[in-house]
Amino acid sequence: MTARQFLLRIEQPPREDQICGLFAVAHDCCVEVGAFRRWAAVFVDREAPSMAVAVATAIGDLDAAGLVPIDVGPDEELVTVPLIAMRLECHPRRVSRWASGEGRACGFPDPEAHQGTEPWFRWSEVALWAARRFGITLADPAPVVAAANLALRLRAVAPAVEDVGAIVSLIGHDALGGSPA
Amino acid sequence: MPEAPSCGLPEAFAIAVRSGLRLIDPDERRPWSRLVCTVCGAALDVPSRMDERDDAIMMFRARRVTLFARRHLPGQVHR
Repeated sequence: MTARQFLLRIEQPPREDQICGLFAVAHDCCVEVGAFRRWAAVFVDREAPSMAVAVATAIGDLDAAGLVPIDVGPDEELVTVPLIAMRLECHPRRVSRWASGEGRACGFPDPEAHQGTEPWFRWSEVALWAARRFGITLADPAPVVAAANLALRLRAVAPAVEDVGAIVSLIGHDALGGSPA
Repeated sequence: MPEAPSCGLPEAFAIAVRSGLRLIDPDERRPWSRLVCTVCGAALDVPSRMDERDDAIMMFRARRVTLFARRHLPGQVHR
């Protein structure tokens, strides 16, 4: 199964009992409260059959912990060799060869930073390289992120909408990937 | 370049502390690790259960710690 990475911004910095509740059900999350408590988010690294399932189950975990997610965001850009290997579904040694001076002739992007001896790369550059070199079409998380954000927004305003079911019915069976009856 | 390098979680915490962040170890009240930026008060809470059978989870946590530490290096605009 593939690991799906993203962040969920939450309405306000969490209380400790809420963090405890979240970690009780989700070991694949980290919680960050930003500088001067101006924002808060849960970073998720979840193995799931699809990005949509990963996002939906993570939102469910936040709900269970009493946290209020307000939007979904893409993962952070910087990635390590092992993470690149996971995403490209190949052995880390292969990525190391591409990333080494020896393999640099293949055009692998330069590291953005180093942590000790470990190089860190920009995922957007690596994905572009992989697409050009191997024709790999990596799943674009943007539509899932957009759909999840619309769902969260609808959930937030639904209590103020009379006959909200009429609005929800606009998302027809066909739009959800079903076949006509 | 080392083969398939992977920064472990303890090493990531150690580097974060050396860069000036404060690490609060788990205790009964707060059974998880917390990294705190002493400049802006930003905090990262990381589940601390070490009995994870999945090495990938530990690698992901190490990455989150490293990225948090990078955002709070001296001289950075803290956000």
